[in-house]
Amino acid sequence: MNNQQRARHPFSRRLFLGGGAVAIGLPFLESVMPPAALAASSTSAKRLLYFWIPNGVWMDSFRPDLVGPNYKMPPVLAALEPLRADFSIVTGLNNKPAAPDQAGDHASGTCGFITCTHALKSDSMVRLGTSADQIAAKGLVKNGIKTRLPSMQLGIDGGGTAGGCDSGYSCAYSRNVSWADATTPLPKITDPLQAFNQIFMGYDESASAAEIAKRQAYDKSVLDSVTAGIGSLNAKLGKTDQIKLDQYLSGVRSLELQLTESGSGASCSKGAPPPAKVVDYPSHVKSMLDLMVLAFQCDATRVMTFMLGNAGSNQTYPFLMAEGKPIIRAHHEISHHGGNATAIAQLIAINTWTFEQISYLLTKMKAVAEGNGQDMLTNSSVFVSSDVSDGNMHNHSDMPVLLAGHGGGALHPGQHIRYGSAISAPSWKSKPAASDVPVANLLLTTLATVGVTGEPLGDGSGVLTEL
Amino acid sequence: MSLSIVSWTKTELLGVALGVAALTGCTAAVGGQPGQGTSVGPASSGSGGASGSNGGSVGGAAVTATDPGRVTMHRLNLAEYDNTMRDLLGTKTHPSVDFKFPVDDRGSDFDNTSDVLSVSPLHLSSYNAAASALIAAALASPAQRALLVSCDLSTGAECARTALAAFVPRAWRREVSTAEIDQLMSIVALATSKGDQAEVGFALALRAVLLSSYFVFRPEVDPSPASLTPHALGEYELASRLSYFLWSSMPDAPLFAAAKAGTLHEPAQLAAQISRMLADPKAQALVENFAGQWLLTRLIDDAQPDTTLFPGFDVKLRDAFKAESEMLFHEVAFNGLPADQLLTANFTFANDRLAKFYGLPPVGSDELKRVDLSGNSQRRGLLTQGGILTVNAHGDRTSPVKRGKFVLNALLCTDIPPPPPTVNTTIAPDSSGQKTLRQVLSVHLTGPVCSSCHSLMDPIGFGMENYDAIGAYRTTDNQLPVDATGTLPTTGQAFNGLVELTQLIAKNPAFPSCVASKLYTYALGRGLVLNDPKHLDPSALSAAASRFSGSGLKFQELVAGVVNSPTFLNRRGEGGGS
Repeated sequence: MNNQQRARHPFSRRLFLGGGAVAIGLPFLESVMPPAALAASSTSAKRLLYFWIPNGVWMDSFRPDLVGPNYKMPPVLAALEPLRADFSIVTGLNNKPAAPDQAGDHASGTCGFITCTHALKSDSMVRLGTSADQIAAKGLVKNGIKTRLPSMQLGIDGGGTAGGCDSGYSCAYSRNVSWADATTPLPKITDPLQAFNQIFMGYDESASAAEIAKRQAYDKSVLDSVTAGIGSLNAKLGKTDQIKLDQYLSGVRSLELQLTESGSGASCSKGAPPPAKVVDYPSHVKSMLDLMVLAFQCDATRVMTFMLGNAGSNQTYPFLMAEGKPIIRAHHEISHHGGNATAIAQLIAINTWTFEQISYLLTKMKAVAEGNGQDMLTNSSVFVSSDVSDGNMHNHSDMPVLLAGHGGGALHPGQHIRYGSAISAPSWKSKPAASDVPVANLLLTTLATVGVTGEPLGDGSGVLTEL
Repeated sequence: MSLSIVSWTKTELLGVALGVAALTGCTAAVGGQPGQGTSVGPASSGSGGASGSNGGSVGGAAVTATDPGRVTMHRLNLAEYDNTMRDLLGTKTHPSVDFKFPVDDRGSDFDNTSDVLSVSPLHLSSYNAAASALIAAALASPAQRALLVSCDLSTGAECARTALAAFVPRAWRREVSTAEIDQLMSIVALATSKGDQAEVGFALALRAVLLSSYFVFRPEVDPSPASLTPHALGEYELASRLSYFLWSSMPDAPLFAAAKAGTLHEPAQLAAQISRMLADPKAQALVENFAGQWLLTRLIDDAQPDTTLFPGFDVKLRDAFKAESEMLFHEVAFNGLPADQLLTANFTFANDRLAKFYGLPPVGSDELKRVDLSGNSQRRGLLTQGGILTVNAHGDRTSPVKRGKFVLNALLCTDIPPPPPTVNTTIAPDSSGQKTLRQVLSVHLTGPVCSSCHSLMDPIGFGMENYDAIGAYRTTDNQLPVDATGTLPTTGQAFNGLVELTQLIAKNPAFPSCVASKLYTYALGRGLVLNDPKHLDPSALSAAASRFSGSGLKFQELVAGVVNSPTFLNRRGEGGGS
């Protein structure tokens, strides 16, 4: 049965075990059973989420007045006040490799978001590096932690079907933050129903154990056949083609895992699938945020990326008001504010809305109890940032960073951490110099929270202990 | 990559107190012919074309070009996957849409640039879902089933073997060994051993065929992958290159037959196949995929002008826009018209909705029909079409910059980089009174940073200002008269309005060489190499462009020129080492 067909079935709300194939016939439960009661392993499941937002942030409304815990909540983060103890604001970090060769900051900044690697400027080939989420995904497998999906890539916009993307950079750079290696961008799922189906692939509540075993045997024989002759092809290919074939083989192995891996056994309520039709942008975003929590809750994966658009997003926000008028112009256009007061007011409105969505996500994660007084947010590290700092300057220094979650106790949220020169005046208007401390070091710190250490990442040189 | 005559250069700006040490900008460096504008087209000697462009000055260098370049193994892109399933299984749907395949990344303007076409786990799970469903649907439909199996599977394994032996070579677009069929038969045997009917095992085997690397990719192999010595493509590989170029799909029976006979590479056979293939309805793929990306007609579907400002715009008009542009390309490309008619045709295609929009007499149909424009002085060719004008505008206003850039990029192959990051691109509101957009944008030409590029783009876009953001004709902008006069920046030729401007572009020698370069890039599915004197791209491209020009700009001759390029017919290994 394929995903599309399955999705049309009315679901009974039964428990789904993170293992795709292991659907146990437990009776209907109204609420999600505390995982500890069923699957102790999930209580210690650590998750990583890298959340990308486009076109930078109006830093004067993002950068707090004071370092430490007693800062005044900056305007665009107002919605996060109730979660103050669950995140830190980090300013002054630098993502030098994300700067382009001449023009193309949005593309290079986006693909450099969590690769912290300098992209080869080319329209007809891609060369970058492995992103933090993929280092984590591979590291978890190496550490014996297997989920049905080693990682998930989610987003809002797949990308246009014609036209250039950014300044001589292939569109792959503008659309992907997750890179399995230097040449393998991992495209994102932008359709909520498809994301839902990925989370629950292989889950067939009506199948008996024998039927499931048979289906798995069949799937395995199909995939074995697919890989059977691959060696003889590989021998006849050049290096670059072999890279493509490797990408393909990774995909086959990943598919096999999805179809046959029983996972670590977290439990969750599958619930109803999201609507097949995406209605409007805010609903679309909300759907994807809900699915992110669901994927973690079901332990379908422990590593995710999310892109709220693509590089240089020209999303419109007519449902938001600035200076008493709906915002008609497109986001990227507005982000080249040139100091114009109206453009800045519009940017602040868009940024504020964006962090309201992030607040929704974090609040929802916090509401998922995971035993021992912990919740999903306690067990997670959520990195939020953008491709550039200021949308007009296109600087890759003083990046806007939110680091949410407690990393399973490894992080110390609740502060404004400042790298670079101190803030001279208690005002958001001050623009202190950024540091040379790389964003990559913060990312290495997030990797350490899931037990992945000692792996190289971009220009990273070590973890940041003060986070 | 394109035949760029301008490039960003780091220029020390002396005495410009902008607080930046170096700025980047457009400099008109035209193949050693300062002031000659964009005349990088094929010279009448036939040796022009790409030479001298993009740093690839091969003239005078005593180097014999021998390198056909290397095409990275192609993954089927979305359109190719859908069309291949259509021709292989009789699928009527668009699986890439239904199963939400990830959008293809583009390089060099096209989504068949193999180096940027990656494969991810999401691709494989999408392929798996699609293949399962398409096979089930095909086996359940008598007409489609006949394409897969003509015997009774319940009679025993021999039927499945016979069916696979016929199907797999089509799916993998090559001859298939007995061992490969044996391997697939083991899946059939597994299902039988578990008590399922042969039908179940057969469907599983088909799924394995459609998930195979030989289906997902178009592998071309080298006798010795490390050798840089060029060699002719295999016959089946050539069949696939042809079919994916002209049809975005798998080869059909005559192509397979010619490949099997080993005659496909013969010039007469190639010529006959090209004629046959261009006459086939499947060649519509060139309209959707080549023109769709080259001329941005694919973007018309997504155009969303502000309907509070343009209440006349709706989906029906948008659909007519797209059909009009596609039909004009189709008419020029497939009916032997000179390609410059794409820009100058004194006819177009319109239905009643579009005719009314253009101020033409009703055509009496919802379907688009060819209409004569002799009596209309506002519309001639692609650049005057609503769809092209709309996708190169903002939602609420025209964009002389976008329009000028489109003409330079797509029609004259002149790349214009975006503004340097530190430049404030917001133009301050003007309180000195009403101005046209042209007057507002005059600030682009005031400083060297902006003007180095905008002096190339803006004058072209200003020539298009008689057409508003959805392409409606107008004589005023902001209640002031439109000034659509100017000179073509690269040649200095004067024009008044778009119809005159488009004539100049059509006659510019850069136009045919640009068309050739775009089609050549699309045909190979890789970026061009124009700066290596050993590389065959410059000479192959110029030969194709010359054949095109020599034929009076017949598209079919350009196709033939491209197909007969040594780069299309040959390949080489990648070399060893790292």
